[in-house]
This record gives sequence, structure tokens and C-alpha cells, in this order.
Amino acid sequence: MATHETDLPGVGTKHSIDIGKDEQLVVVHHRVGHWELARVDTEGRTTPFVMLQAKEATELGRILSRGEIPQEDPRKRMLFEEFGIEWVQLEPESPLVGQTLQESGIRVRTGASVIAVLRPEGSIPSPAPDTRFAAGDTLVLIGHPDQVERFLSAFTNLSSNT
Amino acid sequence: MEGHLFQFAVLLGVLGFAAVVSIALRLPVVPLYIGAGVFLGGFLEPNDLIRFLGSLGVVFLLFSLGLEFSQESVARDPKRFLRAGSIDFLFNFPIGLFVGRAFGWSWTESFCLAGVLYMSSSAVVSKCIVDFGRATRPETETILSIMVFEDLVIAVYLALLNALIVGGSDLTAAGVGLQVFKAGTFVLLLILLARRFQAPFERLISHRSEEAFTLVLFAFVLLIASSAIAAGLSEAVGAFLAGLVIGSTRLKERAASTLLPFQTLFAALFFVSFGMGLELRSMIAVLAPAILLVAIGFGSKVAGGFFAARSSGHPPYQAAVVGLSLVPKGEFSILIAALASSVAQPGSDLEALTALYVFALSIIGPIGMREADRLWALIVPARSKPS
Repeated sequence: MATHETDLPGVGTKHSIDIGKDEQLVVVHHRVGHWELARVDTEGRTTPFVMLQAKEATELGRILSRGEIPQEDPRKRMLFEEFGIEWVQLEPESPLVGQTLQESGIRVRTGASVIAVLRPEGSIPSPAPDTRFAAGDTLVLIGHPDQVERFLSAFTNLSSNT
Repeated sequence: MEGHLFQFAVLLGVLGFAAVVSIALRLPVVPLYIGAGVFLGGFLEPNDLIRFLGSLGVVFLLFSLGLEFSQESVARDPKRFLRAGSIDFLFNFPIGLFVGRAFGWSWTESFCLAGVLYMSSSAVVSKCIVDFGRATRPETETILSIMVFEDLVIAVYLALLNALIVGGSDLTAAGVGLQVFKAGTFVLLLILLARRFQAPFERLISHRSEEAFTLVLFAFVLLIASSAIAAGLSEAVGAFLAGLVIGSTRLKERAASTLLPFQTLFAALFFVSFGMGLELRSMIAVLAPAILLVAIGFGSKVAGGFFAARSSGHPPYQAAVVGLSLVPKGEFSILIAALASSVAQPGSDLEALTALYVFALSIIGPIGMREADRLWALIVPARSKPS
């Protein structure tokens, strides 16, 4: 299966996917954010399908990619311009397990801050200094990439790939 | 001060009205701005302030052209790109030179007319493609890549036109050579500087504050535009190059959205002040040659586009659509006519002719694009039914 991406200057970007032997699915991402879908045969006959708003296209993408989403990652992130928010799940062997937030010294040692602890029985936003970590907790950290990196290497066996 | 403010208020009010009318009638906005200018010209004199702001509009138009320049369209298939673009050029540029000479005009004026006939409006063409739902069609990429070729030609053309205007009638081959050399050195220097200092440059200009970013960006654009004048090029060419430099950085999108409101305002002032310089009487006087020009321009654009598309491997029906899609004229023809006003001989009426030409083709062009299927059915009756 071949896919092509072409620039449409002033309009947007065109993606085409070969379907079978003699048809193409053409998807144009307009600069204003809309997505237009059409079928084109070898002679260039075009059958327009639909024009989707950005939100609708995201929903369609979510439905189509279901079942192909990879196994939940132990590490999720949300990057802003200069810093990020990271979700990190604690392994049982993490040195943090059993420690309180204050004892761990995460802030002092790495610079990153814990803004929430997520656990199935009830999450703790803005955890107090005496919050005690347990295996399986997901820590939500905020910090510069190097601060988060310091956290990862000090307290987990996850290594950053950025 | 009060008088200025009031004049401005009237001007912008009329322009705003023209924009509303253009949306309601689904017409391109540029001819309506010029029409508004012709109307206002009856009782308002364009002052230096409006002319200056209008010339900023030209700088921003060309900056935006450079910013949006699609290198991918060139790199995708350079041979096809050059072949299609050259066919369009050969069909439409020399004919303008020929017609200008036949009118008894000077070479410089004929060179201007050739530009007016050749340059299509990328703004109108891409808007029509979106509005008529043609973005997914196979011939659309060919239409747009021909437009990209035209954009490149515009930059070179404006540099040469400037040389002709500055050099006047006693321009020699050595003079042109020097001009090309100076332009080449300027472009090369700019590219080298941009390569070498890209990272610090991006940091300098990409301030987080929108305020600082806007000011530094415009300072940069105007600096390059004014140094282009010093290098013997025109400010428009400098602005185009500045656009290319910024367009190859990560700041492209941000610069485009910062620029848009300013470009809208200043370009509108440029078109309206062009219109204010025209007289209805002189336009009526050139009606007959204008109709001739429209017929020639329409025919050569459709033919050029048709053969350009055939050379890119499109079947006849798609090639005809490409030809019809290249017809709309707009901002660049007007820009050339405005520059030409300084060299035009009295009585050549290039400005009035161009205004009428752009009026006609910016309205006929989109209609031709919309009705392409029906027109094709008239020419090739029910033999093979196109989509």
C-alpha cells in the first residue's frame, strides 16, 4: 500500500492512499483546519465524500485507529514550549515506594515538582508533603525536560528518549 | 490631524463595504477595492500618507508570497515543474511584448504589459479551488505548481522591471548585466547569512511576547526591503526574499498569522490608492483595446495551461480545467501597472487598461473555473462523460 503526501500551496496538504489497483483515497487537510475526503479513480474521476471540521476529523481518527493503539505506555507526556508535564508510573522496585513526598526530596534533588498522584482508589491533586508513595502510583510531574530527565534517572529505570 | 482621521475613516469604511459586497456576490475583492478607489477618486485626493501605507502593502504582499513559497512543489518533480511552468510562460509572456509593440508602446511599457498578461493571481486561484471543492482533484496540484512557478518569475521579473525603470530608455546590455550581478550577489549573501546565523536569528526574532515578535519581524522585513533598494533591486524583491528566509524557519506559521491583519489593511490601501489615480473617463476611452486584451489574455492562458497540463500527463479534460483555472488576474498585474506608471508615456493608458483587464478576468476567471464541466461538455459533446 503506497501513500503520498503533496503540498497544495495556498490550500493545504494532500495525502493519497492507494486503494486496490485502480483507486485512491484522497485526503486534503485544508489550511483552515478542515479535512476533505474523496475517491479518485485512474482516469481522475473524483467522487467527493465529505468535508470534516477539525474536531470531527479527530473523532474519526480515534475510531479508525482503535485496536491499533499500542499498549499503554508507563510514561506519558504533554510538552509545552519550554517545559512538560509527565505521567510516570512507579515500579515496585522504585526507591520512592514507601517514602513520603517530603522524604523523597524530589523537588530539591531534581527540580521537578509533583503536581498530582494518581491511584485507582482516588487521586491526590497537589499532594501534601506527608503523602506516601506506593507501588503502582502514577506521579504527575511538571518541569523542564532536563529536570524530568534527572527524576527519571534517579528514581526509575525509564530512560528518556529525547 | 482631524482631517486625516476623517479621510481615513471614510476610506476604510468604503473598503469595508467593498469587502462585504465581495463576499455577498462571491467575487474577488481586489477589483472591488480598485472600483472603490475610482469612486473615491472623484472627491478625495490620495495623500502621501496613504501612498506610503500602500507601498507597505506591496512589501507585505511580497513578503507573504515568499513566506508561503512551497519548496516542496519544486523539489517534488523539478523537470515537470519547469516544463509546465515554462509552457505557461511562453504562451503568455511574449504575446504581451508583441501586443505592446503593436500598440506602438516602448519596450519598457511592452515589458510591463507582458507581465500584466502573464501573472495570474495565486490568491484568487487558491480561493476558487477551495470554494468550488476542487482540492481533491488530480489536476489541482498541477494548477498550484504552475502558480508557484509564476511566483518565482514574479521575483525575477520585478528585479528586471526595476532595472528598466531606473535605467530608463538608454539601458544597455552591460547595465542589465550589472543589475543581474548585483541582484545575484544580494540573494547569495542573504542565503549565506540566513544559513550561517539561522539559530541565533531564530532566537533573536522569536520572542515569546507577541508584541516584541511583531515589531522585530517587521523591522527585519523592512530592513531587507530597504537594503534591496540599496542593492539596486526593488523593495518588493527584498520583501519576497525576506519571506523566503523566514519561511524556511520554524517561525513560518507564526509570522503568517502575525502578518495577516497588517497585510489585509495595507494591501487594501494600495489597491484603493491605485484606483484613486484612475479616471473613469480614461477607462471608458480604452474600452475597445481592453476587450481585445481580455480576449487575448483569456485565450493564451487557457491554451498555455492546457498544453502545460498535457505535458505533465493530464488527460484533455483535466488539462482544460487547468487552462481555465489559470485565468484569474489580480494583485500582481495591478502591482506591475502601478510600478509602470512612472515610465509610461502620456497616452499609453497602461494603468487604465490593466484595471479593466483585471476587472474582467478576475470575474470571468472564477466563472470559467466553476463552469468548467459544462464548457467541456459543449466542446466535446457526450463522447466520454467526464466526472
